[in-house]
Amino acid sequence: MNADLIKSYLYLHAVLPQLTTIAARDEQARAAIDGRAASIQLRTVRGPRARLHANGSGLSFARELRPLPSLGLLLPSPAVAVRMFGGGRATPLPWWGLWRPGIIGLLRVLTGRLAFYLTASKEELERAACFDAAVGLRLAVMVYAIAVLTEHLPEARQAAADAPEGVAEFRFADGSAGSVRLSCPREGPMRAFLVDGGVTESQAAPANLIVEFQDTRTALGVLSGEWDIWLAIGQAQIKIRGHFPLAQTILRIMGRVGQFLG
Amino acid sequence: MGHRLAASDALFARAAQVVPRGIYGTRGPLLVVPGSYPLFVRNGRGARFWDVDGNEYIDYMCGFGSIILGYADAEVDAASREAEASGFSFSQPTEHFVALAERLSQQIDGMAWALFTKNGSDATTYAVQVARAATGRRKVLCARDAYHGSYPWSTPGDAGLLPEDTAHIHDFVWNHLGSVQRLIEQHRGDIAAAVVTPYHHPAFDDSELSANGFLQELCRLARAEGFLIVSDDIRVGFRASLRGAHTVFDYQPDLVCLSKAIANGYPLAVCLGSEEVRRAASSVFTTGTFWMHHGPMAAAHACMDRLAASDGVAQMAARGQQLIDGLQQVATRHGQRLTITGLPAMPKVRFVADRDMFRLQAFCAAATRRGAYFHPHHNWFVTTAHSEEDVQRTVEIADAAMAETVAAGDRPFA
Repeated sequence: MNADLIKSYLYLHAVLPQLTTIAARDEQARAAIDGRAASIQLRTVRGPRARLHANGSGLSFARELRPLPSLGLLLPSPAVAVRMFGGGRATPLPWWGLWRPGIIGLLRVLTGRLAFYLTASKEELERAACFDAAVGLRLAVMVYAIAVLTEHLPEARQAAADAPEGVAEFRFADGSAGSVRLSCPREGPMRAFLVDGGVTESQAAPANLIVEFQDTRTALGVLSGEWDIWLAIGQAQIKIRGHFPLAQTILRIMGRVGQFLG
Repeated sequence: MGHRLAASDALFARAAQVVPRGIYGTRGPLLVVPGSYPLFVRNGRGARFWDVDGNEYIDYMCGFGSIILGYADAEVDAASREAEASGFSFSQPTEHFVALAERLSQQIDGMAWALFTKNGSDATTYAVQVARAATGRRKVLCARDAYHGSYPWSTPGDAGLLPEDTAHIHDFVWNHLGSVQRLIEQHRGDIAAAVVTPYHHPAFDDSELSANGFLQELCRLARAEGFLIVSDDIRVGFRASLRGAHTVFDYQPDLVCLSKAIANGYPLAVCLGSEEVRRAASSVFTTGTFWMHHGPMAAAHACMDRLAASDGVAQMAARGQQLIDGLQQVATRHGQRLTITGLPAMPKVRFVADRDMFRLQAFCAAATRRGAYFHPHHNWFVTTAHSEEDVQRTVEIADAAMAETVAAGDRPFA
């Protein structure tokens, strides 16, 4: 599988789902969605698909498409998807709903806010009073990306197949930015999900492995590559406790994410 | 409790600037519980070491098993110093080289020659080459989760490797003869060797002795199918027998790899082989700049002398059993159940009903903070320097650590 295809899966299935958090917590995004019902579908030729559904007060994400969206966008190739989400010049082809400029505008607002949370500098995030939320979002992208790699990158798929069954929880010691879970089933790829008040009973079961960041600053330093993860582990700024064979597999796959997502 | 690690942490911060991972491999902080374990050592003596912050520990890792007589053993150190006082790292070997090869060839049951290297990985890699040279075959069978070194064919890591590096390495399940037979059927005529440890001692799991004649049957299959048995005796080594652990566990290898404890911590490894594979061994080119350094060889002579004279194997077994009994009593007193497997001198400890190891990690960290260095994910090691009093003190520490662990609940997060 080529790098663009893997990257396109990461953008659509690891990055894009975080829009649901943005829609719930970011004021500008909430205002854009408020009272609006719409479904937006992205279809990549020979690549990933995704559907966003605004229901007036929130946003949901799904990988499966449904007939008759409010807006349908075609990405002619994975490379176009990568350019579009990676900040390059690329225009998707609207195949449905071109006459609904408001929905295109909604998508622009949402993706603009997502880009801000994921790429803004520490200072910009602090000025916008959303530092913790942004770091939580970036951690979620990393964890979702691990799961996506176990679907599409053969080495990661093999590592997941060899890994023990269990659930890893990524969290912050002070609980400042929520937590994300990564489920490693007996068979098949890993699956990531956010933990919040709406978790199901099975999702809320005790995690087999806990990866705990001392704080959001540590997490940002590590996720941005500014700080060495091994230094952070050695200095107990990241605590890893519980099922170590699972931890080893996850760290191994995590090391591959940076090759595809900058 | 006064357990501070400020100097250790500061050194680690410096190391992380100039060394990949700060400390790499099994000695790195990931596998212990950072914040509770020292990362840098100042000195050691007997069964104890002191970290760079001055904390004292009764040690149950002992240089990952390489220390068998205790740290700074006067006789072994003197033998090494004396040899090195006349110079070392010559272009040619010294008499120590010949004398040690003669001694080990006679001492290790069934072996006829010896080739010295520095680390266990060197020795196992050479043994695999010899087996391939002897048989003209490619495939190597290893037990799943067994560790045979950090070279590309055997490393548990994956970064920087090519699929070709492990293309001819195949896993069987320890004690599961059917999994061996399946591999034999798949690769009949192309199997060069099975690499085995005297008993299975994987990280993160119980140690497991050979059951139902597994090793003996594996050896029988090897003879029938024309492949060799390599005994990776690097970890168990002289803690089971000075004649090779295969004499205790009753199997006959063609090649034996020893390292770690043979020179009480001085860097030395050796691959020994039977008469039948001598010619193949000669055909394999191998070398290392420091492999003939005679200081560690002199240390090995002294180490074996001391172990033989003091019946060190029995002594370590007795101290190990004392530790096991003490830990079990502590666990029972606190309403806990421990599973302790492996040789008494190399106990692997875990809590029953603690699959995720939270409790084990908390217990080992608590014991280490109190001065008994217990590794949560590796078997421990006992030396001849561990006295009854050391073990008694260890059990007292374990009692306090257990109380703290139990008080922290089912899933303590240190």
